[in-house]
Amino acid sequence: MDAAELTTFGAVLRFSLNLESDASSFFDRLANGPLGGEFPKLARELAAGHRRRTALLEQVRSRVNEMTLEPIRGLRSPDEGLGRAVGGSATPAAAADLEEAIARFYTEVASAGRAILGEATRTFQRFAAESGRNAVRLRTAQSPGFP
Amino acid sequence: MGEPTLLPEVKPSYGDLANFIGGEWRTPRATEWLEDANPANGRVIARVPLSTKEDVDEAVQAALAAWDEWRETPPLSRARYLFALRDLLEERFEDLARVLVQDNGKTIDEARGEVRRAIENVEVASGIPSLMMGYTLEDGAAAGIDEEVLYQPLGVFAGISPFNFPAMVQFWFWPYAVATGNTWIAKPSEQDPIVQSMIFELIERAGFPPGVVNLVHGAKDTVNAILDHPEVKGVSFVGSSAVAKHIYARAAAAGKRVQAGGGAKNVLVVLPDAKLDKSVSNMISSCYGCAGERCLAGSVVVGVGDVHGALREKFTDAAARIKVGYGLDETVQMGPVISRAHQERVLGFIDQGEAEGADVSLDGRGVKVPGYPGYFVGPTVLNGVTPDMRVAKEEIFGPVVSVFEAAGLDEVIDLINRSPYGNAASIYTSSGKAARDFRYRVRAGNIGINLGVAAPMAYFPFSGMKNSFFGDLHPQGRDAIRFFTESKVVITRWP
Repeated sequence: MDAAELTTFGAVLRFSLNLESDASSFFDRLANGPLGGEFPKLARELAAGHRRRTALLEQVRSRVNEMTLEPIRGLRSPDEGLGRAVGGSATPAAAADLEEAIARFYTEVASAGRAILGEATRTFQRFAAESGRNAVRLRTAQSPGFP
Repeated sequence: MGEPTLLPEVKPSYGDLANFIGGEWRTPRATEWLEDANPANGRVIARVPLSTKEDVDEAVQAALAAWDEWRETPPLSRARYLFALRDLLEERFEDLARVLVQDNGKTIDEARGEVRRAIENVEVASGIPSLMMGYTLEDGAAAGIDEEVLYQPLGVFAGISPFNFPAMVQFWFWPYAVATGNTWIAKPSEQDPIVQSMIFELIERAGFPPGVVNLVHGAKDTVNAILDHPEVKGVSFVGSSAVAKHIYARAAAAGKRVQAGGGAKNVLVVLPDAKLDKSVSNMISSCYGCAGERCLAGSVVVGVGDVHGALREKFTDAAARIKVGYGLDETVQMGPVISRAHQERVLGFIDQGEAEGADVSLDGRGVKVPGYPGYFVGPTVLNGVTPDMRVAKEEIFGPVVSVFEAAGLDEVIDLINRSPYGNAASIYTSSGKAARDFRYRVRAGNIGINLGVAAPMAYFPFSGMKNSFFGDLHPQGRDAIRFFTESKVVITRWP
């Protein structure tokens, strides 16, 4: 499919599920990497957080209300930056970039209006805020010995 | 990264379907079998037995044998079987949804929504200890003489459900029937019964006592055997109006209770003060969701006054953007219709509309989905339709929408009320007065205000009027409790 096409509730949820799964793998790599200081602990915590989100998204998907389903228009999957961030080297800077990109994605999804169901909107808003906070923590965390 | 893909099918095929009677899977006596195809590609994925009169009798006898003990099981204990089933339905939620797509053709979002609705009915029926309570009045008959009402089950009930919601519609009925202490025989549509077989595997795992819930596959003769069986106390049905009327008449003649939902020709009205973009988006979902195979689907769109031109343009434009394909592709917004025969019927309506003078401003007749030689009809918009045309009056049950123009709301209400159908109607407006007027005057059972699919939740009755419903008490909600119980009055005096 066209990578930019998110035309249904299911497609948005599928993209989000894959994103969270990729993000948890990324943070696992970061936790197991050569970093010192507080990064391994923080990365483990964030990896677990993204795994929890996967379970939450599966619940949201299964609570779809058929009565209020509408086609989604104008919602695009994130640009290539997100793909590069999630698939690239697991560094603190890349991790912060990734969380910021995830926050932007969820903010956009949450603003898609009625086509994204109310319960799902609240979850996406929460994820956006959480990823924003994660990015700040990653940017401010100190990593002795890491460039 | 993260791209939606085609979801895998649960199984490529499901073999010969069996009946579930008295807690066992049984091979029917049927000598005739139907082929059940995946509507997206036409591949046969199961064979459906046309169960005989003897098969039906076997199910009725099993249900009857189970009834005494079941009605003596306390309501809370009966509810616990539903709790167990609810957990199993959640566990297999995604598989059930995918089987629905494979067998019915709807999209995965629609299928998930349907399974959710099925579960919702189990959840509501689990509250049976409260729902089934009678009432009492001290000194209700005279001083020292109390009066009370008890709701009691009747015996064996049966449910005959349609192809368009093969998982959900059975759940409009049986959780309430069984929770109130009756026993049940399900006869799903022969066109897409696989999901019910799968659900009955879960019913078996939930541990319901043998004979409490039974499954019999089949078609017309199987239905008639149910209708004529003297031990069946009541019948629940959803399907076309012609069949609903037949079922109502035949079952009632045999002394049974009947609730029979029929067809529809639902009108969506847009007033000039409506929020047009939001209204159109919602109407698209109503008209083309489930490929129009929904008794709550919008089939006629009416723009009142000045809004008509812009409405017609925006509606046609939005309909043209709908992505058609196999519902297991999560980006697909509309799947095929149920069968080759139904596809031909829907295409015939478009031809007829054109012949009668309608302008086919969006033509779904030639739609092709690469790799899927199934029963697709693209979104179709017929403009310039007048109320006397066949496409304006008859239920098409496909993704074909007639667009009218009306001078005022009175004209539209009159159009709706003259229709022999009365299932649903919706109005899009910012005016509370207009909405109230519409709600008050329109003779349809399910009214949407700024909502195109007015689908009642499980705790409300799924209504319907005129030829869209035959009977007195509707499925779901308090109506369901009353339908499946008899009121018994007890007047007590102690010397």
